[in-house]
Amino acid sequence: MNHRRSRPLAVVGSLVASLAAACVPELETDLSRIDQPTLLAIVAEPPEVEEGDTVALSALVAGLGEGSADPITYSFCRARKPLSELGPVDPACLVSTSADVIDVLGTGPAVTGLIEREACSAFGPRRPVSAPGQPAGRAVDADPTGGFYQPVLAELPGRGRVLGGVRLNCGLPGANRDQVVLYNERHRPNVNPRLERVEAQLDGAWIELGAATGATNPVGPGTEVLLRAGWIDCAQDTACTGAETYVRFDPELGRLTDETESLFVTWYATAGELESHRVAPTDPGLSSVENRWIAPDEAGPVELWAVLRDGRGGVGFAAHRLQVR
Amino acid sequence: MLPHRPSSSWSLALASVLCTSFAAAQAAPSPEAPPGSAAPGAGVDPSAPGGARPQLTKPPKLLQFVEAPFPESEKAAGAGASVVVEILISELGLVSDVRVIQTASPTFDAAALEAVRAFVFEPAEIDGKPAAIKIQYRYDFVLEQAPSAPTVLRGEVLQRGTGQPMAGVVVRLASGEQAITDAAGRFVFEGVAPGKQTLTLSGAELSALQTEETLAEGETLEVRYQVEPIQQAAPDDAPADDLEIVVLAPKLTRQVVATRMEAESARKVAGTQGDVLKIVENMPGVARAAVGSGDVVVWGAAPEDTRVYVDGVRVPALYHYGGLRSVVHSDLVQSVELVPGAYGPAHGRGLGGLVSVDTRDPADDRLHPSVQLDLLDASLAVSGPLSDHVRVSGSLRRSHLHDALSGAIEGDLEEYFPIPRYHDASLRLRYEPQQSEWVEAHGLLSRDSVTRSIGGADPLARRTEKREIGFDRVFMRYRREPGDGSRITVVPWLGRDENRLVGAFGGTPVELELDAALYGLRASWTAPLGAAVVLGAGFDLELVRASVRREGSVSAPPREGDARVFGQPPADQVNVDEWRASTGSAAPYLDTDIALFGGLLHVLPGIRLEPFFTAVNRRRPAESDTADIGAFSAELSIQPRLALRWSPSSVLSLKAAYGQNEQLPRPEDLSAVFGNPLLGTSRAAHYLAGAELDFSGALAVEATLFYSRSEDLAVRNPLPSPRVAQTLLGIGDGRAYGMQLLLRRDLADGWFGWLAYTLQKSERKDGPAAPWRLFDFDQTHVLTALLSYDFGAGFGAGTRLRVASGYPRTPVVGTYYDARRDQFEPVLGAKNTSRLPIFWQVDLRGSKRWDIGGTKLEAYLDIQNVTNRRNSEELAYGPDYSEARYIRGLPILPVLGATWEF
Repeated sequence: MNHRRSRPLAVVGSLVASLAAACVPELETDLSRIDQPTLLAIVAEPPEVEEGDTVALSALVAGLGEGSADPITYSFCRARKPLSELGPVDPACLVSTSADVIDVLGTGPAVTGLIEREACSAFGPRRPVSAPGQPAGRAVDADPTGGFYQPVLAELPGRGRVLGGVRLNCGLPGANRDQVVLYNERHRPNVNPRLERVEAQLDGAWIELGAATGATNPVGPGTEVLLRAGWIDCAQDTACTGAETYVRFDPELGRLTDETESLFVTWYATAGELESHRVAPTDPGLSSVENRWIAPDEAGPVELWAVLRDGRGGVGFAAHRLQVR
Repeated sequence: MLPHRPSSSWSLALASVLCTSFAAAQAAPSPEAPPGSAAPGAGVDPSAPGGARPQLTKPPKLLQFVEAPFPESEKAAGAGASVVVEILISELGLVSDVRVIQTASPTFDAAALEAVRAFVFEPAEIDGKPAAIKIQYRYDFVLEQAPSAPTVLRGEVLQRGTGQPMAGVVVRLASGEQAITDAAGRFVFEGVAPGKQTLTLSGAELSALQTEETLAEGETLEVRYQVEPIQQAAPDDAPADDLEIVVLAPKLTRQVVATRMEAESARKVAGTQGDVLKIVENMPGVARAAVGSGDVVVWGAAPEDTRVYVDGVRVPALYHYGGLRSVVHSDLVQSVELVPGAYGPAHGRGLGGLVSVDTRDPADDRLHPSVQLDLLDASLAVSGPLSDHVRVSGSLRRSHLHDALSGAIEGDLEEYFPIPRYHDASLRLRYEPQQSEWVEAHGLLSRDSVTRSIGGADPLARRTEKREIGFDRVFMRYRREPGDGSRITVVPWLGRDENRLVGAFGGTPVELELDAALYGLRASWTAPLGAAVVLGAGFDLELVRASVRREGSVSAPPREGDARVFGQPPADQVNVDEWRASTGSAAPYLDTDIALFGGLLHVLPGIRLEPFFTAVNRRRPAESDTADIGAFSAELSIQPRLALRWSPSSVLSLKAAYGQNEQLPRPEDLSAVFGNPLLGTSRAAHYLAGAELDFSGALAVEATLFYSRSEDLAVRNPLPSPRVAQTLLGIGDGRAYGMQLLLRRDLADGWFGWLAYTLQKSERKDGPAAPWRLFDFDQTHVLTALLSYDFGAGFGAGTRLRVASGYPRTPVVGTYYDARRDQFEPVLGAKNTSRLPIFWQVDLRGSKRWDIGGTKLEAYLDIQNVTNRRNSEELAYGPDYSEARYIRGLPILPVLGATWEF
């Protein structure tokens, strides 16, 4: 009886499974594979600044090969994107060389830039100055963490521009005095996260990987390796290189709320196959993530990168080298 | 008009020679002698011997007249002629000689001479003795009209759908004369006065119906009326329900261009799984909806700009979410009509088309319960009397596709193919104290929900979505038809709409919650004013009080015209707002049908006077310690409507129409954060012209050219630094133009079908300085062919072919990496400058009906996409936009179902 009942369901199941197979395209883009020079991250130090502050910018470039270093040109985007633009930046900043649009900061492995005094009007919550008699301009919306960003562009020669951002501390223009006071009391500028350790499980044991320029880590061809990247635990209300807690003004509730950063790690390798490109902790309380990497069948060195982001514009990274043999 | 019969007439110049009547010639004697004709005695030789002047004592008398045939060669000229001859009559009374002394033409002369030679006279007498004599004679050839044949109006009354004759229908003329249809449904009036005649059809099962015919003198006019087969003895397989009369010839529709489909035909269309209202997707002027969308895109208007009415009450959607089912149970649907544009003044508040669903009157003979089951859902419906004056109908339906798949599928199919849950219900109570008056209470309910969760460990690809959509409607309907041709209808209604979307895309919230209370009143009165004018007046009120909450990016949910690609994550700049908005209008209107030139030309002017208002509780974004300031705006709209229909023959109709509409902003767009609290109404003007050839009442060809222009559409503010509370601006423009063609064969002799083709272009402009671009839902070509045939013995089959251009898409011309968010972003080319590939699909349907112990069981197999074509429904990009593949539509999909009617 049960067998007879289950039969129609099985028919339906196979039918709809074919529907799913028919509907879903298979796209095999592997974002983790590095086979050419690729700019993976723009690091701002400090990662959160105020108007008039100076910020140091550098970048993580993978796939350059040992000893080579292409110069990187850094710029601030000065154009505020219109609301009809659904992307994160005004498209003009991706192609323009006009000084009205792009503020070129310099070329090199790292540069410094001065955050403009009106950055919080152009990219933040402060309403743009309007002409007399005209209604006020619209403030920029914050990101889900309550942050605003000065757009940054970094360009490798011939590789196009990469967008980054420096978090702006613009205060709380929409809040009342008590809320502003409380916010200023409790707000801690963001700190770039740091990967404290990147480990691989080899022969059942966790081994901390050496630096890319240091010791190599031997791995057998085709071996499946469990990787783990970790950061420190942060105490409440403290600035640290792990998942920090921070205060955010909730405009709907009209009060400050405590939040914790959501860190995630993006993995890259020059060979082999990573199970996941981007991994976040399965539990917000965890301070590490795991990923699987299958070593290539061919012997040789493999470079591995792990980039840690905190969701508030902070970034840290680690590079390691493994030896397949 | 009968042809004129040629005839000849003659006259004798002599006063004593009288014309005799003759049957064939029917000629009247000429009372006058021709010029120069002889007086008595003329022609007598005065020099006769004897000296004394002879005296004519007796004139000759024509004893035998011979009619001369009217010369064939002269008939074309259409005129008669006269030939004067001189006749020498012998003393024996015979014609001795004859010659022409006044000619008409050689042919007339010859005909006259030949006839006259055969004349026979009673001889003349001179001095008391027979004597020869000469006379002059005028022979008249007259081309006369035949006397008027009697004017005849004959026709037949048939059941619409089955084509069965309807006996016992009383057909009455305005003069009081009446006829009753016989067993073949035929009636005839002979000797009808020429000109316009007003006919009234009535019967035990019919509401009084009036129509007009125009007859020429001597004409025999054949007409055919098709009415719905409702309350009389049902034919073999027709439910004995109470249906509404529909007149096909002449049409009494107020809409110049409309496609109407009866439920009986619509439920047999392949690919619709027996869902009557899904026929709308196949009507001319309607773009093919993307799979899983359920959008109704009419003549290039946005889906939300086309209004849907059920028994005169607006509902937010025709289909459940995803388009799997319509919101009204098919057993309760009488008909559905789509007016793509330029509709009458009774409706408004929409820039697009008009979909009107008429539900079926409850049966009055006995209760008719029915159950239905197929892959998608199960339902129960009932219709029948509760007492002598009270009838009821209702339905319940619940989807089970989701539940079935949850038990059968392992894995997360819903990541890619979310399957909605839905249920709906309806109840209708009708109190009919007398045939000409009834009042009804209605209730409608519809709920949809869909849940989707995509992505696992990847925090940026993680996507959750829970959507709940529903509406309720409660309304009364009162109708009175006093029998003088007038009708009064009053429909007060209440409703509630809800739309909840709660989700997140890569950590960016996407939330929209709307609860709206609706209040409406629709009242109308129509009556004939004399023989040539029908006047309608009415009142259409609708108020909406909405509470809305939205959280997330201004870019999500996306709007029409957004430069984006499928699957693109929203910007991570988010906001939140909660607001209340009230909108409404109360529109009195006038509608007129003026018949001119004996009904050949109908002029239908109308006007709708509509004051709109919009009120919001917050005109600026909320700020701490700052009191909200509301906003109120109002405007008066005068919307003229005009339609013309000219029928130069019984087969051909020419038509043209113009209409101006306005539409209130949606409550979702009145946010001080995400929209603009001061948005005004949007406007549209529709123009159309077309022709229809109706060959037999069952076969018709209709071609229509259309153009629509819309203004003040809400679009995103293009400025880099927009003013506060001006995220949207009413500066968009739209235009759509094209033609639609419909070759239609109504259900008769067991089969029906149509071929609908629409060629059109629809464009939008996102601001005064922006260029025209293709509308997101533009489809250049849409072709639908339907065919359904009843083989008898309960077997039926049908097929459907659909061909449509792909929707426009914005091409990706580059990509860049956003290192802060760790995701790639597309660099887009010009908006909507590429297209998805063309779509085509063939569906089949087969059904079998059994009569089992007084019940009727019907099973059907509906196979969508029988060729298993891999149609491209969307273009999906890889995470770095370097690779793209098409999302394919449904493969071959058989749906087996059954309906059991008790």
